[in-house]
Amino acid sequence: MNHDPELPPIPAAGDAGSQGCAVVGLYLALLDDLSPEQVQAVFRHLAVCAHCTQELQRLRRTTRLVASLPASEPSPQVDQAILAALAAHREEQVPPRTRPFLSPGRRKRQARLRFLGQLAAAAVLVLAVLTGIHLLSLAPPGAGSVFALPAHLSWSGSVVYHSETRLAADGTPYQIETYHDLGTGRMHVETVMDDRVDVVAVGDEQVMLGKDMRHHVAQWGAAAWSVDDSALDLAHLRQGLQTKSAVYLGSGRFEGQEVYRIRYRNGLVLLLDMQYNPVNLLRGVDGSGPGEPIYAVFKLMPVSQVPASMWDMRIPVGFHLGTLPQKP
Amino acid sequence: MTMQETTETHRLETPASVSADAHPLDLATLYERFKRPLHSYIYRLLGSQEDADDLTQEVFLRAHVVWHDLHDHDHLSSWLYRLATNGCIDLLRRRKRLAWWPLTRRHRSSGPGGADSDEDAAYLPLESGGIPEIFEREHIRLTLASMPPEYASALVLSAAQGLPYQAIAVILDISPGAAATRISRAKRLFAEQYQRLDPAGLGKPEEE
Repeated sequence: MNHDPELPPIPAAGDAGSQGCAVVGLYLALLDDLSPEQVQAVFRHLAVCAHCTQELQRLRRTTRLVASLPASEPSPQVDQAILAALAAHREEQVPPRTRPFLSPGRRKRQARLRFLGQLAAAAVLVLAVLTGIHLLSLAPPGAGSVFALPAHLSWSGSVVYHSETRLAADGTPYQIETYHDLGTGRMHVETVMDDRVDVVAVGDEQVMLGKDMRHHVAQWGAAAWSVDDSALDLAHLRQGLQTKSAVYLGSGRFEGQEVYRIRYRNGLVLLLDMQYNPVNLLRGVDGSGPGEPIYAVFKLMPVSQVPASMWDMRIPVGFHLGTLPQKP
Repeated sequence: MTMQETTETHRLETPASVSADAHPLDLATLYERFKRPLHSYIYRLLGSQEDADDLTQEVFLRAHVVWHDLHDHDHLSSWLYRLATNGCIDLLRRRKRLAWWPLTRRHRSSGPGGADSDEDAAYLPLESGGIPEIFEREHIRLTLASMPPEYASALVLSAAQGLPYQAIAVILDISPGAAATRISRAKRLFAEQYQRLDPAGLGKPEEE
């Protein structure tokens, strides 16, 4: 779906009139859904349009906020009621006419009754099954399976983009957005806190240039403004699995897709999709909970989709060498 | 390119993978596969575990009832999301009518022009007491609740469920272009409302 005839064409880069911006604005809201070609066209416009760049930040923030609402799952009694209803049907091979389990408190609720009226009650049948439950063999996914990364697996050619919110010592939230070229190890890390801090660090393990975008100050050796992204280093992962410092936990579900879960020694759990590409990183995975994703947004894209200027390590015109601000 | 395919797989609950092996007795598999995304979707929209439980149950029981008459097994994911969306929209409308939903409790009267001029200031400071994440979550929920349900659901489908606009179009039974427009408007509306509902206006104290 490189081009959707339903959407107006993306205006040329120079066309930054209000009409052009209105169209680009539509695409900005759908950036995650666009083809690389479309994304490139949008970025060409952004390069010359401060208004839309600002709008993108605003939209991304909205996406981030809404995406931060936690995942949830049905309470056990709902699981039980539904699986019982299905099992009842399966056993008896009768038309599916069952009555769901409802707690006494909920049964009173008007809203339910409207729907329940449509379901002819066969409570006896359901109860019979509920008491003699031999529902379905729902073995925990991944249990007993053997996990190995394919020998030919490579993440080169991909850039991962992830964004997370952290809290400063005084509790102020700040954002870190990272582009990480998984082939070369190049990083582009932007740290933004309110209207106080906006620092971009570009480089690799050897050298890193930090740019204070607010004060137009640049400083070499800005490794402190980078992030530890070693969880996404495939060699590191392979080594960890080999030395057992990284442990396969089995597969699971994350935001609707099936994932492999691998716990690093530091407790973080790396999620890989069924093609062994990274999906996100979880913290707080233990017996009590499924953990929460560290990154509100996590996206893999081809290197070609990321503008080369992202990795530019020249000191921008108008910047002078100096000292970066205090890191939050 | 493989990465692109991967990304799309990641973002879309591929109904095809379900339909491939979904014969009539596989509703249990369907449930296991979709109960979390659907419950999460409903919970994100309604903000109540109990309502999300009820509606999830309703959706799957409804699926159960019509399963044998359902010929279009290719769009199961969309179909389940559609049932859930309709249920959510009904409930949200009812809430608005009853007006017991505590939408106004934190409403801050702000001038018509002042609300959206500074979108970066709406984070909750620690001084507001308690855990900031919880307050922020509630702030997000209140914002969603203040939006027309059609917009709130499109926004959650896109931003939180990670579905592309083309899939959302199928769920909402509108054209892809209309879905794109709705998502785009919903995001902007959210940004404005989020600012407006900024609890006690602490996010931008100097602007009065």
